[in-house]
Amino acid sequence: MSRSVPIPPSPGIAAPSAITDVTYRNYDGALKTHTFRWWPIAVATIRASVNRKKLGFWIPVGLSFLIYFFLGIMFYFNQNLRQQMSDTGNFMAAGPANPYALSLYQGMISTHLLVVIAAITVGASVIAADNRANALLVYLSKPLTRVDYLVGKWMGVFLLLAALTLTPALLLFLFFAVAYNSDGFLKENPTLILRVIAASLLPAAVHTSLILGFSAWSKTPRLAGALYAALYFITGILAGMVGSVLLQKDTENNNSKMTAIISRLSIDGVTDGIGMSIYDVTPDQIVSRMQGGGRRRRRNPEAEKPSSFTVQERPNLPIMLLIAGVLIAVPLTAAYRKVRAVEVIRG
Amino acid sequence: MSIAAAVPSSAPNSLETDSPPPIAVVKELTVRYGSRTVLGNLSLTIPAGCTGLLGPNGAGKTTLIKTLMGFLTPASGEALVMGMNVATDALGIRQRIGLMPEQDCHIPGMSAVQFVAYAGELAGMPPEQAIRRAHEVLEYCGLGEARYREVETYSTGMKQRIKLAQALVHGPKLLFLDEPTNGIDPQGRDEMLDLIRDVSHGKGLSVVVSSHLLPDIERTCDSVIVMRGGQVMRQGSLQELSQTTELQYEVELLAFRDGFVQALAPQGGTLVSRQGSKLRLAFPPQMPNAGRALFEAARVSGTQIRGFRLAQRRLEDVFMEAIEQE
Repeated sequence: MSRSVPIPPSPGIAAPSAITDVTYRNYDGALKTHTFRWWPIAVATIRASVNRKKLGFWIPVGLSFLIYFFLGIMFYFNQNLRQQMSDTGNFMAAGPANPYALSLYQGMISTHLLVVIAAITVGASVIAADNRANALLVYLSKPLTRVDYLVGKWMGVFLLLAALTLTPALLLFLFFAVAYNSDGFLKENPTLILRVIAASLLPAAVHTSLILGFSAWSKTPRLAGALYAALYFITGILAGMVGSVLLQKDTENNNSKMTAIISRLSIDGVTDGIGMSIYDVTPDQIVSRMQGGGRRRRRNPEAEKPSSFTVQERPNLPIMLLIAGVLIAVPLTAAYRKVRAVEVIRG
Repeated sequence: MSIAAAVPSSAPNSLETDSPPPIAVVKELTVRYGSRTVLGNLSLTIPAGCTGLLGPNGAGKTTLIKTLMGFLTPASGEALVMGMNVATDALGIRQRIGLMPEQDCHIPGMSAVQFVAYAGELAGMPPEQAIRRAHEVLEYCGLGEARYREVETYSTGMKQRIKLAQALVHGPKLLFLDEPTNGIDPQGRDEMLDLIRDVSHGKGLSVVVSSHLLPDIERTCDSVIVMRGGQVMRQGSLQELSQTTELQYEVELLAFRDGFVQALAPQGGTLVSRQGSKLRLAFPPQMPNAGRALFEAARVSGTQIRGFRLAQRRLEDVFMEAIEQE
């Protein structure tokens, strides 16, 4: 490469610099390989959400940390008080369940609505705004495929939602590791960290895919968010209603496996169902903890029997995974079909 | 503006004189939207330099650009851009192409410098190179002062400039400009045409300008492709197209006399058009001394010639002939 000869500055005239040279120069510098072309898109998506001080994202993140913090405090007090109040039992304990896993699962199910709010805030505009501004023409006129574009957008939203679901769960895990390692926490739970990661990333992945699907088919972020919220709440209500009807037909404490699946045919139901398997907890353990745990059982043995209106079976994991796969794959396929540089009207 | 005036006055650089290979070659290309054929068995060659794509609305200009960008899959035929096949190497082509689309387009929520740097990163530039280059290109496009403003707040002319900037940022070898002067005021249009003219001459960059504004093409382009109904009606350099098959003169008389034209008839001279005392006259191509015949006719008819010169066809003539051709 030839080096330009420095020109001595004349008196009273500014020395020539790159910025004052406004002639067109070609760029023949380094270019990155195509493999990670989606990464700038993911970074831009994250920056747009973080920079704009979107309260709809930051408040759920804060609340999520607060929920896990509260669970950690509860766990700590329970463990410390157990020895002093031996007659009262352990309200955090729930039968044979792993109390650590149960706390983490409780955190997971407590943050569902927060994930939905954050997903709407962050994800509804991700492709819809691009559709409105014809930005796809900019993206796809560059050496990017539609898959690069979607992976970048998906990853941007996913990482933001993962910050909400995974980070506080990992902090709670860290608290357990620090506070209870002397009780053999890490030795007794060698795979719990992996289970925390899997169970936290699953809802983030499902919600990211769904909101991206709606966003891709809309030019209005609000419409995309409204449709997604409608799907979330309507499937939740319908699954709850159908599950209740089916439960009434089942015998007490002997719910059929089909009822366990049908009652969880909602977005939250699927992630809850898979979360149960990942953390190896059962519905009765969860209900028992919600109802007061061992303390209540000791005082009232009848309380040990969960309500007949509660599904007792843990849903079949392969079927739940299949449904989760559908919830991820279908919206992404729909988005892929919609994301195009040019609208082709066939006639 | 006459074609003669539009021909670049400065000597072309050595790259141009060595007749570089064509930038795109299209062979028997057919593109359909459903059952509707938009480009039918189209064959053309786009030479290096600045080429104008002319044609009425629906001629297939934008479809051709979309196909060359790899956005549309041809039903049959082949298109090569810089030696790469659009059907199999669209990404490689887009790495070396910049597109300035017709419609407004930007990334929402970004300032101009962020937008252009982001476009560079999307093309594979390292972030530090992309931001440096974004500043350079924005200065070049005349947006240096407004580079930190959000693109949404830009005027139409500024939006056109930023579309050009994002197309240039990664250093493409071929630039597609689709209606680049749409919606710009006269001064902005002049500046945009100057930019196009500058970037397409001596910078190692070929440009294809799609427009229906003939003066824009005359001012910026070296060659022209005239399309109609998905077919190429005329193609060639502006110089070639402006040449007439017969010898024509533009003559300005002091006062028009019928006898002047009648006196030319025995020499084979005919009146092509007349505007006041300005005439366009045609002579047989082999006629040895048309000038002498003109002065002789003036003497016979008792009129006076104020001036005369060899006539060239304007681009408008070429265009009208092409689109009216059956």
